[in-house]
Amino acid sequence: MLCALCAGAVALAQARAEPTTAQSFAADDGDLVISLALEDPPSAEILASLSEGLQCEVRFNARVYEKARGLFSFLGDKLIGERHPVYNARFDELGDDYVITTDGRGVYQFQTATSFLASFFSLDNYATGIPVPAAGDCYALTSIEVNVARLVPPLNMISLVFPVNRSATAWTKTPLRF
Amino acid sequence: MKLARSPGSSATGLLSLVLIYILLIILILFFSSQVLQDISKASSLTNFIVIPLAITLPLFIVGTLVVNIVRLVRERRSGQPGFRFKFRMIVFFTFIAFLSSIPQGILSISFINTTMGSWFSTPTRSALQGGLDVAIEYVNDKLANLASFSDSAVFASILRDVDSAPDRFWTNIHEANPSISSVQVFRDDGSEVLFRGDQTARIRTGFRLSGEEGMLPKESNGDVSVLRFLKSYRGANGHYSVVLSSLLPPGFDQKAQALTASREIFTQLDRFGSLFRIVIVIFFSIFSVPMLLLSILVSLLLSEEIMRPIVDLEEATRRVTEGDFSYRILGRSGDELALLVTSFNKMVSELERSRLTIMQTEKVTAWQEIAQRLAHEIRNPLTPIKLSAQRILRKSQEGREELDRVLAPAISSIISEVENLDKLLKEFRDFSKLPAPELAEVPLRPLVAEVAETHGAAYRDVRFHVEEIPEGLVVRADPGQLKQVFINLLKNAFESIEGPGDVYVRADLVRKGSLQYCRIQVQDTGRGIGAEYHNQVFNPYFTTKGNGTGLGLPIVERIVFDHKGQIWFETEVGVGTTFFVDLPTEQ
Repeated sequence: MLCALCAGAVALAQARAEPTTAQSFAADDGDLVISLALEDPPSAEILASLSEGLQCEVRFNARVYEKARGLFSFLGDKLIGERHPVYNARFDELGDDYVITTDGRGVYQFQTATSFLASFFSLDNYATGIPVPAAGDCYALTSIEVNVARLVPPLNMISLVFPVNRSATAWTKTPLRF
Repeated sequence: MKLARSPGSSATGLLSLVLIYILLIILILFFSSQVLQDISKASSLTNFIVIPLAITLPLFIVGTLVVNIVRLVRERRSGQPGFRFKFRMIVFFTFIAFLSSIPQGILSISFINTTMGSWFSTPTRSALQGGLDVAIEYVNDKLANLASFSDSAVFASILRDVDSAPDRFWTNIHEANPSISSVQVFRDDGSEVLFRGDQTARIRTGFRLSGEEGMLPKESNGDVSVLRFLKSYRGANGHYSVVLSSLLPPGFDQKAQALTASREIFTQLDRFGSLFRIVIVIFFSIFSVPMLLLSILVSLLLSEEIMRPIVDLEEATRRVTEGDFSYRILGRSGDELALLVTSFNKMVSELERSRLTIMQTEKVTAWQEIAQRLAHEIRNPLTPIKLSAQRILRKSQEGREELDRVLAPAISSIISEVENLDKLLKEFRDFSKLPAPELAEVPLRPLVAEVAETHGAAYRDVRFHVEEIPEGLVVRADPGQLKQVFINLLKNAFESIEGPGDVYVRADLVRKGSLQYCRIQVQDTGRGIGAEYHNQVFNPYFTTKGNGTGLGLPIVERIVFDHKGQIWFETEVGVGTTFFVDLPTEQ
């Protein structure tokens, strides 16, 4: 079991080295607003997967920390909040269009692959609702996971042992100063 | 009386294994109900508990198993009883566990393969794809119908009525193409001019027209989907955008999506099927291997439980063989071996009683023999004393001159015999009143060398060898008594050699049962002991030497016994004699 888990972890670690993210942060009424985009996304694989009738998934991960100070700083920084918005994409053969469904139940249709890809790999001005203390020394950790073929139950147990479809960017640390 | 019972750890161990078994069952149930259904539903809390459990439980079982196996190997190396039986039990249990798990495994994997094979069956796949193709074709037909009608001359002639007679406009469209569900006309600014037909297909406010002719994106309204075609027309009163709509049957989209989802599952099975089989086998192993290891652990504990009374019996038998008749076994009530244990304890009690009786009888006999021999030995010098005294008396009556002549030799004889008597009584006292040994660490080689130097000086033709006593070998004994043992044995050895010869003293550590002994050998190249004397060598007052008291070897035997040791000898007439002394290294 351990070997299988280790193999999975190694595969995931290898996958992490590939894509990178572009990001920007803003504050709206004290709450953090983030924009993330995947640079050099696996567009061909995504389109191939969609044309096969499979669904794809992009998960944007954002964590906001406040730096710990003082005696107990060794315990680690304080997690202020985290958000993981998810985009699901499928190709609607009846309508001949690409459909993105967000975890906020929003549905967006795209007539062309180009417009679909531009939207699918980017999270624009996402209001996290995470309050950022003005005086605090805060930073954000961001990462994007791409699942080329979203597995359906019970096949999803494959991902526990062999995360074959997933790739993820490394966590990027960005200081937040507004 | 010593009562012995092995520490009982099996019950606790079995209880722990039952607990682990229950945890494994819970894990399996969780796995089948959560992970197999939808892994995303497994909460982080359950993962926090379940994943560490899933990793630590097999590790714990493996660790416990390794510890038990190491213990078993140690038992084998130390020659502890019951190893073979335990080993057989474990092999047997493992074999049984394999026998039951292998068919289960084969059956499960075969079932998975067969089930997945049926999932992949071509009719299902082609049926799903066919259904989806039919749906797409139906939609495409509708779209083609809309497009061809919009571009037709009929529609172009109908369009003339759009601003003059809107009702006729709709009636004509519907008569020309009954599949059209509605028509909606907009001005360039997006304001609606007219709408006729099914309200479901009506474009609500906020809809922005692109202005380009052609198909519009499919729109879903509740469970109804609408297909639309945009046609531009310049009429008498201005420019219009005419939207022709066609409704798909209610639920058409949902059914098509269900078909798409099913096809997605089959596509995934097709793509990841082989990987899924491997994962199934891995997860099957994750849960079946710990179960197998658990059964081996159970076999270890059960074999321990079964073997314990047998090992106790073996231990008790050995202790009794070594002379410890006070050893008893505590039998457990309800134990099948309790009867055997009770019989054994009874037998040892009887043996002890018989031994005490025999010892008492032997003691009386020995003392009778000693008394007779002592009387004999005392009587021997009394005769010359008496004769000397009578001679002195007789000569004193014959005159002074005669008395002077015999007085000195007679008195010398009396003194000599009295000295012999004194020596005899002194040795008897030593033999009968040996103090209890006061144990101390005695370095063996220096002690033997000292004795040989002191008592072997008179035997210049005899070579003495202590090289085979390991340097630093220490014996736990009473130093004075041990020295007496070597004095007596070495004196016997030196005196048995006529002319040149050798005396060897060797020592080594030996193990008998669970006890370790220091084995000392005193070997001479003397005349040996005749077979007729073998049974009398350790008897008090038995001697083949003219000036011997016959108490040297009995004293040695007594000292060795007092040290809980053993003494025996090997001899060959004309070759020599070796005395063996075993002294326990731990008391």
